[in-house]
Amino acid sequence: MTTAALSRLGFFKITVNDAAATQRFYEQAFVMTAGEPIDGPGFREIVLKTPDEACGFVLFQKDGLEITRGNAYGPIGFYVPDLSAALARAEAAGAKRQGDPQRFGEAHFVFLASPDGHIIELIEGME
Amino acid sequence: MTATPVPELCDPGFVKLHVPDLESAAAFFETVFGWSQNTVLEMAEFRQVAMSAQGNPFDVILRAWKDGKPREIGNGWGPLGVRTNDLQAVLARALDQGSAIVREPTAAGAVRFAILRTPHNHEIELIERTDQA
Repeated sequence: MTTAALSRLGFFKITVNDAAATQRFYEQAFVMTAGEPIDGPGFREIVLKTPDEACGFVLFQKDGLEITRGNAYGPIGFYVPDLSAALARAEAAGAKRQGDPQRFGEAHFVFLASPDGHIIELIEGME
Repeated sequence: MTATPVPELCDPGFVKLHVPDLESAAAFFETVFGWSQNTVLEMAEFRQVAMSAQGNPFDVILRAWKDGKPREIGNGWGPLGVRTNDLQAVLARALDQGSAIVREPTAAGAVRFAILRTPHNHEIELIERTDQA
């Protein structure tokens, strides 16, 4: 068996009720950029990328789907240089804080719920 | 608190997958994708390890809770997309390590992709560009 093939995480997908609204949230809160929506029968996908395009995630909207998030994924983690500024921007964009910022060693972190209900973790001091 | 007018760079750094068995899940990602174990965090409630691909700043963090609660996948997440330069080899290793095929390798424009389900029930989409040497 060989592990010579090069494999890296390129994206992950989250299911949302309103992909356009979620796109606006990540653009405003995290300066991510979106590609053209991919519209198909009963679904829409929008690819969001970071400024350096190292990794992105895909917003998936399926008509009539009742979303159940389970407990086997998440949160989405963002490393930020200024937790207070990032938190303020995310809240201004519509995120809801899940408790107060906390410290763990050199890390300063806080959890948020995005407008579509996915949990986001902001972390300062981990890079 | 007011929002800053000029946003600083905020990088997505990771996504977490919750697994029932940390050691076997970490071994899966090591064996199938060649990723290495990075930061390990041991807490009273859970253990977790960050899995990193060389040169990729975005990690998959595997977390195993100690409460023994069952993990429910739901439909709000996934798949994780893994870009590879050898889909067939990676897929073969994934199947050898207990994965199941959700979608057989399929050509779509400049890529070929396949979707698998890991032994811990998370879906992973393998993507190989076919328009590059």
